[in-house]
Amino acid sequence: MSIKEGPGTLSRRGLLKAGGALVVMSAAVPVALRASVAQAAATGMPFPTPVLTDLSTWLTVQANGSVTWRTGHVELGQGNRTALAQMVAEELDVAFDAVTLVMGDTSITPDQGVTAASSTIARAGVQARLIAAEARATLLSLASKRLRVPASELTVEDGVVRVRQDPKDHGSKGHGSKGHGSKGDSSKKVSYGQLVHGKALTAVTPIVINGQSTTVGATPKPFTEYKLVGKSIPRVDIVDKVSQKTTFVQDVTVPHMLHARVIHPKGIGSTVVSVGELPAGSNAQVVRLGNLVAVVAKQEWDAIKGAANLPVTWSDWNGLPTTENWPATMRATPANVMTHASQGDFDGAFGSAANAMQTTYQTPFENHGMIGPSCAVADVRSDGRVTVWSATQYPQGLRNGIAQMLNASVEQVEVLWFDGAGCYGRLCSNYDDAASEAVFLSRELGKPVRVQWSRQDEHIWEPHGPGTLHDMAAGFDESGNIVAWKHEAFMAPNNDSTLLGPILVGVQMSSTRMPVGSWTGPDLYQFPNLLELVHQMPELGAGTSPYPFGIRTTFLRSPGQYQITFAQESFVDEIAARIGQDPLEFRLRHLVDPRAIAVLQAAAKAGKWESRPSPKPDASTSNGTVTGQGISLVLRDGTYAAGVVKLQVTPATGQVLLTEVTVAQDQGQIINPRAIEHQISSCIIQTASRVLHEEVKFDTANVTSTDWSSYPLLRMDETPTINTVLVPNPQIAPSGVGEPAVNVMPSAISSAVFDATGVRLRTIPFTPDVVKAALG
Amino acid sequence: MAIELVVNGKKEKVTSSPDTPLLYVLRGELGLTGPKFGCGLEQCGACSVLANDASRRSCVKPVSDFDGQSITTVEGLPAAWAKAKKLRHVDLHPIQQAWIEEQVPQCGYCQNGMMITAANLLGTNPDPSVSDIMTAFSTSGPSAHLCRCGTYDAIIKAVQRAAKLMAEGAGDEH
Repeated sequence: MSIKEGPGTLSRRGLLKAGGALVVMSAAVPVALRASVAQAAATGMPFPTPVLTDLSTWLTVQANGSVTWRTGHVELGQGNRTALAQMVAEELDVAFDAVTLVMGDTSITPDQGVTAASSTIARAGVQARLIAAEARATLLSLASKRLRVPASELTVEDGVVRVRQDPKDHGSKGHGSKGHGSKGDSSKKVSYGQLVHGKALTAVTPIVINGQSTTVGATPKPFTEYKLVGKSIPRVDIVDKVSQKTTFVQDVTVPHMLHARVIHPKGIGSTVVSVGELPAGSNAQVVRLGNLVAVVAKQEWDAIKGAANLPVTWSDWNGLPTTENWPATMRATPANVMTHASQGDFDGAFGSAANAMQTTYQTPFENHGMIGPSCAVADVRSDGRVTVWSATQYPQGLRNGIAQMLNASVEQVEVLWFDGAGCYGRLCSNYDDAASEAVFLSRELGKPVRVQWSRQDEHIWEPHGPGTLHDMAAGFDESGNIVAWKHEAFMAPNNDSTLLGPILVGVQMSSTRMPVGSWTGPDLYQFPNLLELVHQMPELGAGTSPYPFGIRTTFLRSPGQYQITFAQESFVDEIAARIGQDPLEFRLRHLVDPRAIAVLQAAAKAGKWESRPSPKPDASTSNGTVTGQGISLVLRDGTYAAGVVKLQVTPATGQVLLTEVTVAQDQGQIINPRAIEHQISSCIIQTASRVLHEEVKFDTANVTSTDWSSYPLLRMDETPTINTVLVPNPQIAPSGVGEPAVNVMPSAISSAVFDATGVRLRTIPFTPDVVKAALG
Repeated sequence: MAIELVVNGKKEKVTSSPDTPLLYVLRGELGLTGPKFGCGLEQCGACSVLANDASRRSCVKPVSDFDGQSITTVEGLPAAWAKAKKLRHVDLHPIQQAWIEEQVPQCGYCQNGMMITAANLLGTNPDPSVSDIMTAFSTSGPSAHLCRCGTYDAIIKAVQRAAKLMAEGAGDEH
């Protein structure tokens, strides 16, 4: 069914009015299922919470054999809707096209945790695979009864169960098949659809779920029998996205909906002093709930105009240290120091080492930079029931949060997920600021309210990627063997989960997580005396703000790892350069993990690595254009990635232009090669943007990078030639592909600039001004 | 005098106030959600439409600036191609077909603007070089067309593929 009809409005036919409740049918949800939710709404029943151990929570087999599969994870633009369907269809032995995924509808989809950290395939996908295997076993058990043939003698193809025709049986009559009289009788068959036709399935062996562990009776297929997994099946969401059939959350409208623009505080810790009046003739109205100030109107443009013209006086607050001073402030702020790793005696080994190096790296505050600013619709009804339309990365988490902030029960709240702009962690710990504001406005006005943030709102108020510092120290002998290694990081928090709505309104949330900085990832190199520490910083400004946050910082694609790997891999390169060794050879000397060695060598080969020390003999800071190469390695989310960056530097302008980037990656089992290649490409281009251009700047009151002019992104004319190599390892469980390649970029770029110029850049971003100054 | 537009080949009398940016008329009044709100500052390109066949941003300039003009949103691309090729109906413009074949979108939010500017480029330069494509998307408009998901590489390939499809007269069915 289609949900769009008329001017961008959800179809009336798709809206079930029930006792004043409004239930919107989501496109992907089978009519039968949504109707049951509508009935629940009509009779005042609570919104259900799907039970993970019920097979019927996960799938429905329709009479025509099509399969509806429900997942708690959501499509963030990285192809997991397709990859999950491949894994499920493979295990069920149905055609790929037979499976339709339903995502992120809290009344019908199981809670599989947040969609983040490259985890969909590795966790939710592997869980779905087990449950699909159990579903297949259950279907075979039904077929066995129907056909009166033992399940072990049945086979399935395209959702049709037949008696196995084993060629061997023809030569061994009476061997094991006596008494059935049906062995090899291919006329005996039954389809999944005939077996089930929409009825609930009960697993033959109870499903046991214990935290992250799922146990089923059935055994999934061996990878050698895969027909769908491993194929580059075109992504199922792309035709709709190209032909404008996808409804983004920004496109959702419901009857009687009002448009709101929220006017956010002037400074991060500012509170309302006074709110003036809208100009005469305005078609909008002002809503003030504590420090939540919004202008609301029937037409979106009236709300925008109203917000631009409403005088609001905010208290002064100047609790931030400014962009220039945050590193010093961070070092001076007391913080818990966590030991990530400690082995041997660093101090002793460092003190007695023949050679020593010490240096500091710095990464900036960054934006997730959703191209579509935050947007959500909320409908809080008079009976206390709530529906929220959101692009959140965790619908169930948002559902719980909204219940808490409205002092409602979880069963009074449903969250419907819709596609959003690529968010890269912006909506994974902060589940959706706009939704948290919309529910309070809707409750106040008694109508559905759509909150659309402005570009400036998003740039200033998104929870940013955290700024970090890395003090590195290493001791090494004459031949370059590293005998002592220390990495001491200072990291702003990576896990801010505050939601602006309740905080501005003044509602106490019971469990605001204490933000902490994080470390991540295991070490690949074998350094005998190792010490890795992280100062877990509070948010800048949090100490003096009336709100429970300072400059909010949270997970941004490959959080922690990106910063840690930049420092670690750059420093490895600096040591290699000091002792005059080829950066590739130097790395291989300190590695023992065969998968790490394999991806490094694969990247070097495909990237045409020139084996020699850096900088190159003709490195220069004055020639017209100079070129260089850099190499890097990471283990992230269980996936090994290595990259070779080739670039050119123009010293006169400071411009760094990537010319060719090669990434080799071993993610264990490959689900969809083409989708993985596109993910690698995405990581390369997005991270080139972060490294070369991006920095969130702030004064003492608030963020001053307020748009794409003051916070520019990489442009298309800076796109390098991209080569990808997928290292196959089908016998190993699949691991994440959305993040690993991010991490090889910053140090490889820094090292390639060094190779070209002999100058090492240790503070991201490498903007033309920064590079020009460094080379000058 | 009411403002009149021809939108995707159809005459429309605008009822929104004349100072409303074209984007809100297209999305709010006419229900065309292909053009997206990205910045409201002409800095990202997500709102792009063709106005009298030229790629224009719709998020800032008031609808009154477009009075009498022919506006094509991404929803209107197939019909525009059908008309140009004197075909009765096509489901997809060759640019859209190329976008699918190259599997361009990730989140897809910015791709409406990307396809509009591809249409503008291929309308004036049927066989663009990589450099021509980069220029069209980076420096030819009020700002570069921005994509956060990193699809620039796929877009370049898709524009080249679309150029071939259009030269072959493809796109009559999908």
